[in-house]
Amino acid sequence: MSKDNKHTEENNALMANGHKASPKEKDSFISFIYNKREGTFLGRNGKSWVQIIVFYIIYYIFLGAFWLGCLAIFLSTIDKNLPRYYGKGTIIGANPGVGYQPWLKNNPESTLIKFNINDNTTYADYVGVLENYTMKYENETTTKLTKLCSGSESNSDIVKDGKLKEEGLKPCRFKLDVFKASGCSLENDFGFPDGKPCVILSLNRLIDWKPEDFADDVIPKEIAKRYKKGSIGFNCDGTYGPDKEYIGKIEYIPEAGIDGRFYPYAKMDNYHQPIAMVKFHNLPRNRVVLVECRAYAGNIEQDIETRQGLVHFELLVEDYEVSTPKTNGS
Amino acid sequence: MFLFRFKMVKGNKNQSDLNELKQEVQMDEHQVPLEELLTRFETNLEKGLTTKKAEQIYLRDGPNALSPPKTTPEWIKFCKNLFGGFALLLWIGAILCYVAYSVDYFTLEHSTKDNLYLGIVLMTVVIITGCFQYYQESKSSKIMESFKNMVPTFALAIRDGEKVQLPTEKLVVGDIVEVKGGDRIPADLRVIKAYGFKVDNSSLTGESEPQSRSPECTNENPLETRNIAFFSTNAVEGTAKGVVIQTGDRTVMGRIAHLASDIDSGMTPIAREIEHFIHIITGVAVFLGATFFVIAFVLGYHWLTAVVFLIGIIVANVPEGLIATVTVCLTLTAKRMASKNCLVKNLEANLEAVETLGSTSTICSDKTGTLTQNRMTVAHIWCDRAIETCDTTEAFTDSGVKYNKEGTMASLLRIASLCNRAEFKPGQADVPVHRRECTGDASEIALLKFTELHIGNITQYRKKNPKSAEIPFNSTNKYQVSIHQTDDEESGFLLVMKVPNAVAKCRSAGIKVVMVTGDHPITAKAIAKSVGIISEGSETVEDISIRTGIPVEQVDTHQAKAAVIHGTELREMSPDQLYDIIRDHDEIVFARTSPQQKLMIVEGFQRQGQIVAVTGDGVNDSPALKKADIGVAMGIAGSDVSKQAADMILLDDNFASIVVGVEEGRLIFDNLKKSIAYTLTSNIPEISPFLVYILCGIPLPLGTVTILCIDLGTDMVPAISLAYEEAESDIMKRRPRDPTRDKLVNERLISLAYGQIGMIQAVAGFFTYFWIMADNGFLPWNLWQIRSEWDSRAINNLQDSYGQEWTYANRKVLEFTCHTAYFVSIVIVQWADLLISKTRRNSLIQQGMSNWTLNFGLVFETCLAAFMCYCPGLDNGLNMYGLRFSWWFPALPFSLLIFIYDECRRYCIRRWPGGWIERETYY
Repeated sequence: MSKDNKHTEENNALMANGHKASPKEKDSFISFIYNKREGTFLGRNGKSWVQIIVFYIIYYIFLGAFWLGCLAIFLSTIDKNLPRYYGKGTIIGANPGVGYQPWLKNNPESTLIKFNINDNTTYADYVGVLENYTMKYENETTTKLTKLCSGSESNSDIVKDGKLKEEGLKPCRFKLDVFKASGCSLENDFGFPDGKPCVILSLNRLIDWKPEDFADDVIPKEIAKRYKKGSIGFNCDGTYGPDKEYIGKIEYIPEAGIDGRFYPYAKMDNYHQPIAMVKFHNLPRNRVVLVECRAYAGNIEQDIETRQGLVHFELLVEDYEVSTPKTNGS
Repeated sequence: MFLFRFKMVKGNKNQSDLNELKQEVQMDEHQVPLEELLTRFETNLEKGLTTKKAEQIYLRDGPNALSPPKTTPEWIKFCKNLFGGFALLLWIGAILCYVAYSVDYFTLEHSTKDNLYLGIVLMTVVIITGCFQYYQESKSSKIMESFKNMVPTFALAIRDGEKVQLPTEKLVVGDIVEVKGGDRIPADLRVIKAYGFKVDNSSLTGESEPQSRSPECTNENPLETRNIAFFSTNAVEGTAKGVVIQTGDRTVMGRIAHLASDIDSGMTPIAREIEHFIHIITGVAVFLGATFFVIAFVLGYHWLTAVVFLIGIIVANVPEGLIATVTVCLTLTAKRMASKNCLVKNLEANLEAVETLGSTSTICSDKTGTLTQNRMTVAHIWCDRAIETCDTTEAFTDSGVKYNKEGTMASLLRIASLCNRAEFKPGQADVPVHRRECTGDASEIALLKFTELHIGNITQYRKKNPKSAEIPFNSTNKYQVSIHQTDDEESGFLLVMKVPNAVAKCRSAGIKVVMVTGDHPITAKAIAKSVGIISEGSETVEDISIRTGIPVEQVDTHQAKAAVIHGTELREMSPDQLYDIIRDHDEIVFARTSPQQKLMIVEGFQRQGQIVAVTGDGVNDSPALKKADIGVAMGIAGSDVSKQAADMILLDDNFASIVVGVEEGRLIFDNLKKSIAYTLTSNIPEISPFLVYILCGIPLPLGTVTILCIDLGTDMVPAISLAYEEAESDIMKRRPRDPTRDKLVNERLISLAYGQIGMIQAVAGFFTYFWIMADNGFLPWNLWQIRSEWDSRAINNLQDSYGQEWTYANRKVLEFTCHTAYFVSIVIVQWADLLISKTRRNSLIQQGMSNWTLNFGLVFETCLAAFMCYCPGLDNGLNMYGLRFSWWFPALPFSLLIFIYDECRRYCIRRWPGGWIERETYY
């Protein structure tokens, strides 16, 4: 602020009389900050400072209270188990996106999975993330709250209009056996040491969404061989031409993708989100491969712009000797 | 040889330039024998120049016209508009955008074009506002241009032995020209032959008496000698033949005009105010920007993210539309004033003159004509120590009056009729005397009419008493003698006029009206008394001395409210003495002042911190006009030079128009405050999203582009509409504002706009934001530090409070919907802000809602917001998304709160005048 404030402070009279010849004193910046003679700091004396500070404290307390009051009233109208707007026609919509793991929280902008098969420190983080992610399916306390579903049992039985029909109903349990059987578990560090990493694919949870089956004649050719009714199929490939060449063999676990019995989702404490895994069997070494994985169901549309129905990530498997410093870069 | 002496204030940076101009100028054309002069110019008395020769000289000397004052080149003006003030900050913002974009582009595979677009938008904004301001400026200077070229003049010259009508611009040195009464002297002339030739030098020297001109050289001083007629003065009567000795800028007039153009008039008060304000805002922007740049680093954000924060803070801080709003407000007022005969001349952004007039604390009115509308009437006669009142109504035609036509009265009438050069224009015998048109000085016209009424048929009376000799009045002799067959004697008479109560109005508005005139002190004092410059009951030192019998020297000067200062006294005064006189007296008349002294007087007032308006019409006034904070020239009687030096022109030469100007100026100052308070308030809800975004890591509640939509879209019309607001009280009954204390933007305004209302608006915005987030699944507590995941393209499955997973694209749609809703809620709280900004003291109930422009503004901003919100295609362009109907209303309670809070605040101001609330919040 300017040095002129001092004057303004001294005389806040509504219309100061221009007749008074103002005493020509030096309004130096220093004396504005602290004026010993008048005992003012930043143009105000102690009393004036106390008054204005007290005023603002009271003002902001009242304003804060008013705001919190409004917020509390509003939040009391919110259902803790069902958002006001969900599903078709809302912002979140009814077309799920696809997520993947491992994704590192400390490098949130990156979708690159990069590791050296000769150096377990380079993939320890990824293994850790996957381990964490899969742990909840085997955690005793949560599995107790789920039930094994078989036959036609599904979460549709316990969910109605986006909510659990009643408290305490158990959703279907998701089991990792199939992944273990295919070499995608902690036991073999999810295939990382062999350069055959497993990547988890999941479908975004949307309240009240469940997959619809493809009619027999419209099953996309990418998944036609593996497709099973009631499931969500996945297909991964290189994003661009060269990637497609290098990506090599991909194993889908399970073959048919995610079982539809785990849908629809509703807010509950112990929902087991179904996942699928893809294992890349012969990735090239020291070369980035861009991967695109698409989810297929009758009511999933893939949109590259908004990344709905598909996900992108990159893989880079290195095989440098650990002892040699990486001079030629990666 | 001559020398103009102008007193300049010490330390004036233009002093050296002035000194150069003040250098002595050799001039001997009036002294050398005519033959020699003709030889020098290679001309012939009878045949004039040959056309060929004239062309040669024309090529050498250029046209015979005053070159316009040095104007800043157009491109510099344009650049000033483009890079001045806030524009610079915005340029920085735009450049940062490009930097951020290019870094993104080269390092990230998914680079977005958001920053590129934002940079382009910012640049467009700067360029458009710059062009707009430039256009405003140049448009107004064009008006002025056309005003200047309104009257083309011609001169009668002899070329190749034949008389030809030439445009005055074509005249060259050596031309023989003929002039007659009524002409404007086309160039500096040496008179060769004269028949009763008289010129009115008032525009040059300030002497109102016409002076005769003859071929003889009577004085070494070219200003005093009789054989020179000066360019741009007027021939009053007679005819003359002369040889052109100087043309264009080399004429005496040209030199003075240049002197005037070099006096720095400094910045107008509002320009200072706006600069002050820009400094504050820029300071805040830079401070906040830098602080949060550092904080962002400390919190571990990437430097590029920190740069994006910086851009956001700059854009949020700068009220982009404000300068345009101010320009429009001032232009509107200027238009309104022009319709009331006050033409604001706004060369080089002098638009602010409007407001300057409002803060005027002293008016130096020079011409009695200005005060009296150039119509004087004899109202009182002082004769034989008695004052008689005359009938001044126009209907009065009776000439058989009951005045004692003997003795003193008779001689008075005789002198008034003979010692008088005013004449009736022919062919008006049937017109009532008071309405007849005359030639001559205003005071002499009054006398002529008076004597016509009381003696009858003056023309004949004058013929009976022919004039045998005359010493015209000039400021050196200070008397006029004309010898007629009857002898002459000095008598006192006074006359005066019906004046609009303009002076009284000025006084009630706290404005000192000072008269600076070339008239005789007695005349001046009488005029001053009758027009109210010296109010009834005020006494001068001389009056006191007469009343009490104490000698003048012993009278306590503090007792005298009024003072009449003679030019000779002034000459001997030191600046300090002048300072004392100005300080001690409220009512001052400066009589018999030389043009140079006017400048001194103006400076004297300015030294006291007064804002001085000067009125004037002559060339000699132009330095004072220029020096004044606001120079007011006369549209009808004013000379071109004075109009050029002035900031404002009274089209009807009426003093009352100044009062109108003052009123408008004060109103616009008040309204600008309101407008700025309104505009600044929305800065807080614009900045706070960024701060909260950085500090709490919530998704950004308001985007940069949306901020621009507010500043340049919805806020513009309402802000401008405040210029149409009516005054809250009688603004002409309060004192002029004190420029050092009553700032346009003061800390009370900032405190109210930023600290109080702005904060309510910000919480309203956040309330809306949390409302929409919660409606879609993100409850407030889950938003804390979610930013890095929210903004990461890598995360395609971010969980909300209900466990639903959001893709990046959907999150962004939600975020932009929040931006839109935040934007809409700002519009809604700005409704209330607009209503409370209508008044600074009164309740809205007292003020009413009759400002239809403002009412339109309310509707307009709402419609614009709805348009931006729902127009298809704008979701990509502006990132604005359609809102559900219910999302329009979360801000309403806060809007109401603003209104109620401010009504209470203003009630307190009215209830406890001078109280704490007023001292801290009345802006």
